[in-house]
Amino acid sequence: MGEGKETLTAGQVAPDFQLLYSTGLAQRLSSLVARRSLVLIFYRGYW
Amino acid sequence: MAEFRARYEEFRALRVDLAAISVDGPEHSEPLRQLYQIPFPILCDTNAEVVKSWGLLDPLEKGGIGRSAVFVIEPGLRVKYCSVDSTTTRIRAAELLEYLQMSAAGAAAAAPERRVILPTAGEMIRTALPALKLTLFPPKR
Repeated sequence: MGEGKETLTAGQVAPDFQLLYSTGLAQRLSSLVARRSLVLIFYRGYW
Repeated sequence: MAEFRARYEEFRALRVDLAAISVDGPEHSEPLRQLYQIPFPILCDTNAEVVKSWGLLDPLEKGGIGRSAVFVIEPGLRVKYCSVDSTTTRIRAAELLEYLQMSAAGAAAAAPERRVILPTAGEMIRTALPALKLTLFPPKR
């Protein structure tokens, strides 16, 4: 695949990002975890 | 995923938020969120930026779809816990919840392991053996 990125592991600092919610609102990860921890679930297309 | 939805309030009680993320755009994710009445937000990583920068691109996928994974991110963006699904194993919400409850109580908690979601060897033998026997030794007519 050539992307060659190592998967982020426990203890590392996550790269921040800004993305849109499905509702259209922009949100930064750093704002989401400003005061609380966050469980972030990466899923693929179905539940 | 349905399991995380069902136990959402228990995560919230631990002062832990939930969010889902996928490479699908809002036109796909928002109807899904409403259909399944998902109580937490879905982030749209439409250009697969996060999937790439977090090292979750599936080498077996051509379309840039990320692997399924669960991360716990603490204030300060530190990764507290991470579990990347394989084809056959994944982390259960119940076990993650238990781990977070123990951590919140100040107990040294061992990070939970993914569980095998395939049938066990015993189950496979029980179902496969009769079929194999039938193939090798078909009943005489």
